[in-house]
Amino acid sequence: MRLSFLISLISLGFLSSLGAQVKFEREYRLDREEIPKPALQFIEACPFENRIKWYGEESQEGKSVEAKTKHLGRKYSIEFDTSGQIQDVEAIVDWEELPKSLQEKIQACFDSSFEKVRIKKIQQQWTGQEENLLQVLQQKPTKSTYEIKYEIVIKARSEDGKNLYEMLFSDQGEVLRKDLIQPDNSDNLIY
Amino acid sequence: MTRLTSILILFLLFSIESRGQHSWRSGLVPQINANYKLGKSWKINAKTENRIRLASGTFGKEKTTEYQYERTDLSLIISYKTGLNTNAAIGQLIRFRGEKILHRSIQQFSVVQRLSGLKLAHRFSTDQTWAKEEKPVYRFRYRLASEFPLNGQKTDPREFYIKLSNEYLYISSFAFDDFEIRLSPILGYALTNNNKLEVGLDYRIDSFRLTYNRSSFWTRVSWYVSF
Repeated sequence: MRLSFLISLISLGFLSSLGAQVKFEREYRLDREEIPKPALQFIEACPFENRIKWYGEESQEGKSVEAKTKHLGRKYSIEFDTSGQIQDVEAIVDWEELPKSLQEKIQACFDSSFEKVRIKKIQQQWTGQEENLLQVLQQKPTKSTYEIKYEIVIKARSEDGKNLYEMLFSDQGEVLRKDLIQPDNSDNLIY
Repeated sequence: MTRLTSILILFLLFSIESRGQHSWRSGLVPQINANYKLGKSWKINAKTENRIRLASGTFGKEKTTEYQYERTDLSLIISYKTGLNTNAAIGQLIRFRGEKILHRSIQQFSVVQRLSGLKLAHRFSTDQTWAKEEKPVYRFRYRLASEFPLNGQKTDPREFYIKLSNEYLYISSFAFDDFEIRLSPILGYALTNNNKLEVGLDYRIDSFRLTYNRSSFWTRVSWYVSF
């Protein structure tokens, strides 16, 4: 309890020192010829049966290549750098799938930062060595270490009004990043 | 929704066929749509739209090709952001049709849903139209518009997109009641997030109250700009 309070406090301090930077992301489809070979080889070693869609992505963190697919009813996204080296694996998960202690820490962070929060999307993120990430995707038990983080998109109400945020939490519930998502312009759909 | 729309179109085509007469007209509708943000929650939408008729006739019968300027619309709508994805708006439109001037008051509420690889906008609106020596006309409208990016999961600058919209209108006046259905497939190009060009078809079918229907095929060219 004391530890979770400490983590929440540290998270809060970190959050306010970070503020919320505006998230920038551009995504576009890639043809097979445009995909770096190591990225293709990694995906071929994965047990995916469904179609793989390839995207190029540009964000504050630079350029990357992303493979998206659905496997065993779950949406996966595997991110590589432009040379094809794996950066992380992401899978969409439900709130109930998070460990109870982590749920409590994240909830405490939400309660202290916002008046009202609605979770829109949770992505579990694995980072580590290529072979470890492959084992994660192959659902093989692995003794090797890998890091788990959680990227959560929330609709939140605070004194700044209602906004969309993307927050990155460690598996200990620490806030690592908070980005404000600017809704794209929809005037052409309304008028 | 798609299946329901298909059934409805089939039903409409069947009913049109059985009623015999079906007139049509086609032409061009250029539009400039400018949006200006006022603080955090308010926005002004100014629109100018012209309609030029290029051809008309009756299906299976005569056809007339003509260049005829029909009307100019000027509208000003002020909207308030009621939530993250919802807007309430009111506004006024002035229509110049020959020597006639029509005034229309508009009230609308819209909801935008951002889904994976798709954006949906629901628009509920009502309007009231007045003109000299004419009975007022009241309309109740619902429009579903969707935007599909042609590259990636969302429309980014310098990317094309498809916009499909489907609108249902119930038109009421002291003289008559009528329905109108609109279908509009559009190809768009986002120059930036706040600057978009669109071109496509705006198909409308109305005059269900009469013994004949009327179809309109307008080629729509629009420029959406936000400041």
